[in-house]
Amino acid sequence: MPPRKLLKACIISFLATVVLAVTVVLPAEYGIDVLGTGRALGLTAIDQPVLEDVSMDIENPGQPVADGPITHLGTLYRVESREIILQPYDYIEYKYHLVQGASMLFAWSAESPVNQDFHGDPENYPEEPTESFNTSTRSRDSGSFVAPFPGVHGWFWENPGPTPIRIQLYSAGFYDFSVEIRSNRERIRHELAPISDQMPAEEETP
Amino acid sequence: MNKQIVVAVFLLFSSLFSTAAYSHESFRTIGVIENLILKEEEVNYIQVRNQNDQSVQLWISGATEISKDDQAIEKSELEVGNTVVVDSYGDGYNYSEALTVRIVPAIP
Repeated sequence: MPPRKLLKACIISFLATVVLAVTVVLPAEYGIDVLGTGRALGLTAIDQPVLEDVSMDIENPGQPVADGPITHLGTLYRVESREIILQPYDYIEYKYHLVQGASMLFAWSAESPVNQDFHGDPENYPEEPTESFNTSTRSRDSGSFVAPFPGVHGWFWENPGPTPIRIQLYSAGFYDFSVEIRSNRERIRHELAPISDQMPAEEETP
Repeated sequence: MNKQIVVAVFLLFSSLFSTAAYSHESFRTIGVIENLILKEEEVNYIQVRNQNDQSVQLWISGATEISKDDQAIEKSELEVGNTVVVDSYGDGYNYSEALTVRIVPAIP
């Protein structure tokens, strides 16, 4: 190819590249639409994709919204570690307040077997009765739980013997408070901070 | 006039009884029997000293289930000095109706 023809081909290629860059590539890649061709060809939408909004229930934060295998909640989860001493022959109830569909993970262990009843009290208890999910005598358990109805959900633990028993409970979940009910009818409500409030502040690096 | 009084008294008693029924709760008492209160030679109340060193009287009714080592026993087998676990139902600890009385090994 003669050099003159080659130069001409290079110039044409360069100009074609500039035209394509200005009319197509810049609007699509970077949203720079000098000539308006990007908007005319619908290419600016590529630069600003509309993300599908996950339908969070803004009116009721904390209400679970199922999204395939994921459940979204508009609140942060909470964690708790608590030691409970069961006096001889005494019992205690320890329960978390969960909305319907909210989940929690738990693990507890006792020094020796205790009578336990994992149950839930509906919000309008006692008009609606307590529902028992698992009753047994055991010294430990761990697992996950999804609240089948709104209310307080947790354990009745009873010491069957004449010596005190120590129980260690760990949990994490979308609850907002826990309630401890003792056999003398004393009710103690524990306000639990969301996980972000429990994390140490980020230190600035020099 | 008499009819109005009867209706008023009925309503008053109804409201009183409904309030009392609503306030009933269940209680657990753990302690040692310190006295048996008899009526017509049968145990009618047991007086239990609980772990807070309070003395509580609990009604042993015809429906009270009494047991020892998971075996049902008669109310005549209750004795002063027994360590008991009592689940009762009433307005308060004192004079509530014992639903179950379990005689258990003494607390060391």
